[in-house]
Amino acid sequence: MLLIEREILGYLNDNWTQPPTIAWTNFNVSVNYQSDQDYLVPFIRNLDSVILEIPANCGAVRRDYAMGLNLLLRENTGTSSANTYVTALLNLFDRKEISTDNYEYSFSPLEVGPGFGQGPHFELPISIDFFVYSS
Amino acid sequence: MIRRKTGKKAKNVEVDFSEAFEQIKKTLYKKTGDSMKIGFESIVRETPVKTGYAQTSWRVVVDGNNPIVGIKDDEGDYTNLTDSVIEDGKKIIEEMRKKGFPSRLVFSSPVPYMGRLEYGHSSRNKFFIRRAVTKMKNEISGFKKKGY
Repeated sequence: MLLIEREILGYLNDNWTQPPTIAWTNFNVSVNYQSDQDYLVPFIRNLDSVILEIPANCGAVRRDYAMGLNLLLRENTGTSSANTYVTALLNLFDRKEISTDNYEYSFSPLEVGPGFGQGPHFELPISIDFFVYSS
Repeated sequence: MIRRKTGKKAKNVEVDFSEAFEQIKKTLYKKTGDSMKIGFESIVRETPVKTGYAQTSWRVVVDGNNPIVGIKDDEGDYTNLTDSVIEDGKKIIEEMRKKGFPSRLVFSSPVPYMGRLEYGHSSRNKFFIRRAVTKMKNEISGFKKKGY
């Protein structure tokens, strides 16, 4: 994993204060999902990386990412708690400029998709794009 | 090409830009068409595969038409259709390019669980559509800025 990805996931880990447990299944941590527990499942995917200047070996690079922040909600519990969690995610990431030790992240609007059943949980897909300039 | 014309007896001189614009337009259409073909192939190839039905359900459709896809046979194996789906899509993009993209062109799949493959936390290749779209967007935006 790149430091860019590690630092923004660290930011999420440090600032997430809501009840859903962060499930790091996409980062080599096994999780035994419990049906009586809500989860936040983060994942990151690099969408594109473009060298912006010549010579390439010292030019700036723009890296575009998509970050998934899916909520796994206990089945049949309605959406009021989900609304609270989504608001917390909006406050953390929606259209924010976030600085970590080494990078500045520019976030797009947060998007919430239609939910669907997923095992013993109801999955609410949440995603947000961001980009980072790096050397 | 920018053409300089000299009138009879060298009385007047014109500089004609019309062919230059035509050439720029052709180049941009070509580049954009190529980028769309790569993007379509990327979306199809990166669609997670179990039977191959979702992967081979992608179509390039014009003017808001619905994609035509056969009903899924749960026992079926669709993986041998991938290449022909890609080639058919590319042909339609190429035809539209030659006509100057006169109609709305869409990559579409009617498979109802495509959203889960794209967004689901257990999907084997999350954000495969968004990745292809971002690459196309960045490329096409680059052509617009640079003009080539």
